[in-house]
Amino acid sequence: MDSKAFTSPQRQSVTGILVIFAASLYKIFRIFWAVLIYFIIQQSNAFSFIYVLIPLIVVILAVVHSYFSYRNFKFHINWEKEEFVLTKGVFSTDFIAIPFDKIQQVNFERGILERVIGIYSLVIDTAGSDQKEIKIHAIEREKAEELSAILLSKKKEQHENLDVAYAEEPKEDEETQWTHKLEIGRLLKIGISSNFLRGFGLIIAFLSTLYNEFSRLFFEDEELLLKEAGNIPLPLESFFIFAILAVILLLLSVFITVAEVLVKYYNLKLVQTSERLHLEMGLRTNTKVSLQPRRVQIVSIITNPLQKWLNIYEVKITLAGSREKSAKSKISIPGLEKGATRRIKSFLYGKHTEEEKGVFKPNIVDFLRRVNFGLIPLIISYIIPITIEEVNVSEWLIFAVFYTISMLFYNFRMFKSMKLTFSEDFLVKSYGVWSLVEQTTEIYKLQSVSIKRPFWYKRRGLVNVSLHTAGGDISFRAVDEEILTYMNYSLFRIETSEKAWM
Amino acid sequence: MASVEPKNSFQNQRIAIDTLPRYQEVDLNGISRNLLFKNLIHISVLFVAIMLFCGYIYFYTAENFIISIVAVAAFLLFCFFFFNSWKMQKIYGYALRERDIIYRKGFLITDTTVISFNRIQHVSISRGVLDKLLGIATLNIFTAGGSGSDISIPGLEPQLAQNLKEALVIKISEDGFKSIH
Repeated sequence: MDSKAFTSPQRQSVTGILVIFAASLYKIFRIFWAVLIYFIIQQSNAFSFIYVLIPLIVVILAVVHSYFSYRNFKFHINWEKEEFVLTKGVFSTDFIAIPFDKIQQVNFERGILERVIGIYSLVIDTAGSDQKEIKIHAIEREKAEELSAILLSKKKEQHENLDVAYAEEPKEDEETQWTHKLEIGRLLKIGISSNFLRGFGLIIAFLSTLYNEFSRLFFEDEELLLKEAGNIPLPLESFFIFAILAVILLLLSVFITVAEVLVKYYNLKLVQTSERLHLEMGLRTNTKVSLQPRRVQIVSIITNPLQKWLNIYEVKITLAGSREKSAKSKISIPGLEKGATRRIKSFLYGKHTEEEKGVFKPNIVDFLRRVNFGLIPLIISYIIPITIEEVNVSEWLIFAVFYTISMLFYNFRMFKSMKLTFSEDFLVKSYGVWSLVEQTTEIYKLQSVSIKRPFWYKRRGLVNVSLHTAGGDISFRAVDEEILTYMNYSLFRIETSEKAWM
Repeated sequence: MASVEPKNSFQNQRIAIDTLPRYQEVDLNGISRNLLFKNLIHISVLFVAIMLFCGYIYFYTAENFIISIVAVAAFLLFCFFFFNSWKMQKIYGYALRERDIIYRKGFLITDTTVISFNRIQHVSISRGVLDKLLGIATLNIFTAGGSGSDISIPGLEPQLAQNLKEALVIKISEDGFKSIH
């Protein structure tokens, strides 16, 4: 391979740019031509030339803009510094440099048009979110292939195959260390002890679509319906009916939740070999995942008091964000026993201690903040008794008291449960009102740390902190400044670590 | 299971956390005053546009009362914006340490982000039209974390931005070198 290729700045393919430009112009024209002709015919007076002039000016401006955008879009390889360099922008200027060893993936993208005229779009991917990728439209085939070959050969070996943790069957020679299977009985237990709100939501969604359909069907009979509604039994009887309805609704929620769990996690099988975790599950769509400890960013252990009693824990593993949808970089393993969660942890983290060094709880300010936000819907809902005659203020008040009490209770529980713990190697955030979540991340895998201080925190000596991983942030609000020591400790751990973090 | 392990099998056991370097004590470099001008121009243009709109409504329609309230509210809001950008200018700051870069911004909510060199993915420099007129540039530093994890340092002299970028690239590749060997 020519080691001095792409030393001089390169531009996109001229034909490619021209064709793409013409195509987009044609698309715009196709949308507006009818309107244009309509106006020209309709108002054939002295001003009708405006309707020709304006589009013409727009087209000319677009051509000028495209020309400069083409002229200024330049890329080359700086061999000395081992980086790929791109400059672009018409009015503004962007100068982007990507070191070879940070390149994750180089891909081609081709639409139909691009296929026809034989050009490529080259996408250079670095770790991180979608916006961080670099796209070169309209590049000639030979150039694209050569450039991609160079970049691919230069990118770090170990980054290969990072995008997907998938599809790899357990190798024959890999030694199985332990296996975890979910039987139907346990699946049922998981379903019954899960949060029914989801199932409830599904029912509500179903009923509302049903209602929409029916109301459309019986639109003419609306008056009749309203009349019937007037005949609804008196409060005492209606309370009975509502109670029955509520029980039915609850049972249905339970049923749907259980069914969903069954479909999703049917035949779940978890196998740990010396290097990877292999997971297989699902009734309808069979999910297969295999993952390496290196890629793991955050491990969440989720349970609730009922599940705790049944010895059921769910482990959610967040991987370094890839180009794929975030759902794919989150892996959920339900129905584990406490011992199994420990096994997963020790597989992922090796020998480790979780001896607590610093424990932080939020200041009462955080509770007040939550309550303030909780009060907003209440204040807005005061519009209802004012505007709707049928609802009087005392009825609203009953609702308001009920809402306020449950809101206060919820937020107080949440506030009390919030905890951030630093140990030698780990950072653990735990919280939850009913579902209890414990998020663990290895400190050395952090990307950066942010400390936010609203000015009204200054006097109280409080800060908000965010610890950023490649699989999402761990944030903690209204915590005492003492935590800054542990921010410095985290930085120390990041900066002295030479281990691969993904 | 973990508790079976003897405690002293770790190498990093004896770090006195309190003696670690503190990012809060680093003196930060300020940024070019031209950024303040840029922000003021942005706000002024928007302010004039909104005031013209209010004036138009006031003189050509009957909505006098409502539009006066809107105008006063907009005026107060913009007063705050001017005050805010003036205050913000003093907060902006950055500093390079041996192993990381510190960046601070924001007046109402002061946000400090620290990125270790060995977590930087790539660096870019961007300049808008006003940036070019005022002779400033923005240095963007990207990590593999979410957007909250990245930083953009505005109001740097172009040559300085370029130098910083070069310095960072060297730091990044040093770390790359270290982790290969």
